[in-house]
Amino acid sequence: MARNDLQGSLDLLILKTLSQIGELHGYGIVLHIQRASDELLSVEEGSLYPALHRMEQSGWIRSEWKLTETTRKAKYYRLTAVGQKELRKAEQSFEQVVKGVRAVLRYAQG
Amino acid sequence: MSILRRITNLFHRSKLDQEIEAELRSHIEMRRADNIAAGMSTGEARRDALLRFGNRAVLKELVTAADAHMFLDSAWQDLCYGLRMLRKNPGVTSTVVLTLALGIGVNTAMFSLLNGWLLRPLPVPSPEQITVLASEQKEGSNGNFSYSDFLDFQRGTHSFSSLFGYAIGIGGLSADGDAREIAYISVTGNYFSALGVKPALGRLFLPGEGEKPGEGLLVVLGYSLWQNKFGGDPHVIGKSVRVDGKQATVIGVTPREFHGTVFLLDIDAFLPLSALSLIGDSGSFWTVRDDRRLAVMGRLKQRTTLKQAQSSIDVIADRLATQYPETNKGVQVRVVPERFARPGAFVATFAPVIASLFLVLAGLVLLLACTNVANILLVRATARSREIAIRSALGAGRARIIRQVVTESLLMALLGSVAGILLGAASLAVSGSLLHSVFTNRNNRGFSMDVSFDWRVFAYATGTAILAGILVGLWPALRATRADVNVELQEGSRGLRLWEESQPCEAP
Repeated sequence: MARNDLQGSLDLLILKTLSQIGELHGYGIVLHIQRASDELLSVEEGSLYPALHRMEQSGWIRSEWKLTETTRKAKYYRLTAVGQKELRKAEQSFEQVVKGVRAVLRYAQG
Repeated sequence: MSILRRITNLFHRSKLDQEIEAELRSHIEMRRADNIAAGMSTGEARRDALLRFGNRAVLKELVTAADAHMFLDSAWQDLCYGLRMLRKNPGVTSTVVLTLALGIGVNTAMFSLLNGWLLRPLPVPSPEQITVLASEQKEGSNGNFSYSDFLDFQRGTHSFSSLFGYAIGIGGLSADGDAREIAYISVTGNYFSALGVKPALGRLFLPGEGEKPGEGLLVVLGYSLWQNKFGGDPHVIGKSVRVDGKQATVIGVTPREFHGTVFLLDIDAFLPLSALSLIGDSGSFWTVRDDRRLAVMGRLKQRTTLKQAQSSIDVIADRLATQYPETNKGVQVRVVPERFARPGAFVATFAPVIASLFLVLAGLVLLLACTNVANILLVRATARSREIAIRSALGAGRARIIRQVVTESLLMALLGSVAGILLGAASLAVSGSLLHSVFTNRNNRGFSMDVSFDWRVFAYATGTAILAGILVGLWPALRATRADVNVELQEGSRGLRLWEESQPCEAP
């Protein structure tokens, strides 16, 4: 059974974003997810940071204080090798969830 | 969760807090700047940026909780992993644990001796108020007072809630046709009430009791004499015994933990001061100012400092010196905390020095042990450099790896301290019985120094263990993690490709 809670999909979004962009701060992650999803998804700041810190403590991502292009100090996150593996797992499990949900929906529609 | 968080917060709350705060602030700033760029007014931009965060305090708590939870989680991982490593290398583990056990054992034994000597307070209420008064003359003195001087000091000073005294004696006690030698002290009537000692049985002397020559002889038994000679008989109260041939009545028994106020001596019996003239020679004790037989102690009043007490005593000593120049000229009185007056006030100046000297010696032994252990661990850390390289390639930070290695050495040190405490206890038992046979004569006179382990000893042993654990772990850990990951992995060659495959993916 795939993990299909909200937290799982937030983790997936964050991990995927970092694997696509490489290195990004929290605000950048919010913007990227919003843009990449055609404004369909918006990540709440209130759940983003706890998730980031949890993933960092688990060793999925790594952080570093750096300067932004506008020379503001920000904490940049990047994926670790462990995070790569987690991303793959999360993607698979998400695919399954989508498949499962779709199957159920189709069944309901007859 | 909040309890866990509080535990870990003890260690790094403020740093964590600041970092989270800074991170959130930088986010809000960036949002605000973008909002302004998008055409909002300054106020609007700021409000919007803040609103998105909701309650900032709650968010901060959530983030902190995420960190704290994982910190404990990974600490637990470290612990399990550490235990596994210890089991996997029984040779190294036992060598290290034994070496540390020796070092810690020596320290623990030494500390508990010093604890019994200098640190452990008298078993009475507010022991820190108890002081010893030492009378010092120009040519050699034993620190004792004459009874008349004692009365003058008692009347003259207001720094003490009471001054009390005792004189040591050795005598024979016979009851039920059996006689034995005992160590007793003849005490002023207020001796027990000033110390705050409560009877285990019957009653103790009352203030003023037995301070007139020729009163009938009463006796308070020490707990161990009561146990050894009277078999702990509760009907001993009112019993007639003979002390040095004089008839005396038993009125009470002191509690088990109280051994009197004479260092190293377990006092068998307590007599009133009047016993001095009944048993001993003389009436001179009561009146003659250079018949100095009374050891004097005082309980400081609350909030009275040693200095205040000393100066009030000085005033009286000066007055007595002018009043009775032929006996009291040049007599000075020193007030010393009881703990520093074991065995006598004269050690007060150098006892702490000797004590710390011994501790330093024991500390050197531990340092030696630590150096050896650190060397062993360093060799092993070199052998483990590949494991460490792999872990850091997998994303473990340097701090994380150092923590792992130090956790292992801490585990070994704690094991060592358990063994060390046992070792220390064993060596104390041996040296204790040696001391006991030196101090206890044929007649079984009691020797008492409580060197048993109390919380101070355990705190000390644990403290040394933790210090040793960090010391021996940190150095090898720092050395091992300084190495370059790539070099280590290439040297290891075979597994290399595996790690190359998992380079970060490029964006699709």
